[in-house]
Amino acid sequence: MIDLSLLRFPGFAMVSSGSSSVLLLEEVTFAWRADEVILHIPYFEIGKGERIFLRGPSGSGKSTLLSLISGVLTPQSGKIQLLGANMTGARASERDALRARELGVIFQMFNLVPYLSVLENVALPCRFSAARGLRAKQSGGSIEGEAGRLLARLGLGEAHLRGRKATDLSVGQQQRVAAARALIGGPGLILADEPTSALDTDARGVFIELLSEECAARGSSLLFVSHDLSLATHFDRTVDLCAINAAFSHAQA
Amino acid sequence: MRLATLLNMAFRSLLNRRVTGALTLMAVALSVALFTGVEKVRQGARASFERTVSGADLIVGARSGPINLLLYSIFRVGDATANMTWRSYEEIASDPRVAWTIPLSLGDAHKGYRVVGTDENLFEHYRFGEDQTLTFASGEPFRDLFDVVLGAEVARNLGYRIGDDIVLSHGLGEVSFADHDNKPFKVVGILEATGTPIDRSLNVSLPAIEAIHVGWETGAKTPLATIMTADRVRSLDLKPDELTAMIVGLKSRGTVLKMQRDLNTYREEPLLAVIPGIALSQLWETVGIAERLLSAVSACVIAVGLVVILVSILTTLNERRREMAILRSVGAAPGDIFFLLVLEAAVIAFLGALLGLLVLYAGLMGLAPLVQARAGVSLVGLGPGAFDLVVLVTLTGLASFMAMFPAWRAFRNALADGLTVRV
Repeated sequence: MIDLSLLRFPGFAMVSSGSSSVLLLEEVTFAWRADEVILHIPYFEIGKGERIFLRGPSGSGKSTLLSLISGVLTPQSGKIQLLGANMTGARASERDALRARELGVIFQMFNLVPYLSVLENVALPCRFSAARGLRAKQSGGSIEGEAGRLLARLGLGEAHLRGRKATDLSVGQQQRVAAARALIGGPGLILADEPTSALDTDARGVFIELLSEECAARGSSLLFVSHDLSLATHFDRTVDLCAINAAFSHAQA
Repeated sequence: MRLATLLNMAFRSLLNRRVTGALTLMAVALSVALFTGVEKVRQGARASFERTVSGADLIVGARSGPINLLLYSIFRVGDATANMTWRSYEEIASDPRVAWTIPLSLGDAHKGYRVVGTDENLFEHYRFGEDQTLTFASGEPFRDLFDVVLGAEVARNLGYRIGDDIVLSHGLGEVSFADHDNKPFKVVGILEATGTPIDRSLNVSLPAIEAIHVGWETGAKTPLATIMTADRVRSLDLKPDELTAMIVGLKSRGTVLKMQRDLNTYREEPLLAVIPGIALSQLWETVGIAERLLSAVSACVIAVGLVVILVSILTTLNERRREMAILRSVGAAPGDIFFLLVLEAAVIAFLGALLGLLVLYAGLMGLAPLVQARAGVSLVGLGPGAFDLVVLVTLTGLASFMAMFPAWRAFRNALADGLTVRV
């Protein structure tokens, strides 16, 4: 509650809207139905290269927030900026293009297109954004080369794995393929939505460390969403969604 | 690049659904094979009939029906009910408006192939296809009483060569019970293939027809037939009394209607003269209803094929919502998802149609000799053509169009679901 009042302080927002921010949300509200605002975020910012743990229990508007950040949903009011580009004012096609270029998304599970091979899954974002494909080529010589390099970095180096259908892999392997896909072409921000909840405890730590290392290597920021606070130690900063979501606190109060 | 990506994905998605994909493909292939096959055989039959009578101005025979006369005289389908007299033939042949005539005397057979009594005018004046005349693959026209000139198919199927002796049979059965066995014929010529009923006929002179029927006047073999051997029969007057029909070529096409009227009101005997083109169009009118019905049925089968494609895509929509969310997350626009599904339908339709055409042509190649032998319809000229391309493109287009319905639903789902799928 105390945090909240600080965040709402107008001067705070003014100061922080510099060009170094990767993601910036200001007075963002979203409602599925007009009378029921489920998300109201006065201010939220992620700096360049920052790795943030966002604690969000179910019902805190976590999925909605991720959809808003990725430009799949648009807020009723407020401003969302991704790498300085205004998501809220942009057309749907521009938001799709921005997402393809600057976002990597890792879901809780079932991340992969079942009929594509592991390598094709990793390369997928480069097919929807030429700029991202170009960055991948600059980094790895070719899109496939970069995909293979990322897979190797994430412990999936065996050549025979790359041609396999994504659904033939174990859950842990699938999550690492998803991480490689999110990382390819060095997007500005990686959104990870409970990516470790399907993994056992040992694998969780390893996965997060690998993901953090690769984000750091590419200068990508990381927004890691989970309800499991024990993972928070791996990150630069922890943010409680309940704390920054004014609508949630109203409902709980 | 995006089109290539989506096309690749459409392919891979179909490959992934092996069983339903294969079944859908099969349904489309069969429907296309049926539709195109019906159309091909229809066109083939017409073309085959039309190329047979390309040079004739009139067909004349004893009075029956125009279609009937055309069918039995030229296409060797069915039998003549009556003959015309030789006197009428000579009178018509000497009419100043007539350029040439070809007499036709039918009734005997050899191992299922018709024997045609005619004269050298057949080789000189008969026209088929694009104004082509008969040419000899080997040998020459008949000169002697017991010479025979074989159609290409007869020679090929029965393995005859120049110089072989053959025995003709009385009547038209494939298995003969009464042979003209004491008057063997000698093969003196074999014609090039024409794609007309000529290929399936044995051509002899008119006197030859008379000669082998000496002693058969009652319709059955009498002792006289046995006594009159090949050598003895030569001494008889073998001028024919009657014939089945004649083909007439006029000096000027302009006189054809008047000539036809004159022949249809011929005083000496009841004759019928038909203009082949008109009789043919009457024939097509008669069979037109059946043809259209067949076309309609095969078009319905195509429609069923399209519905199968639609169903195969619609049923997967719900289970693919997760996949669509993944695609959205990597930057696919809702329009990409719409396009992906349309492409999948287009790919199934295109491959299905292609497969169907392959099946059809393989089938036609296998069946062509059979159809040719049984129905007299030449399917030889039915190679791939513009029509197939039209079918291919139209079907792909229709499938794409119909797929806009499931694609639109996926588009709406993609907008509503975003990155989260509530299923």
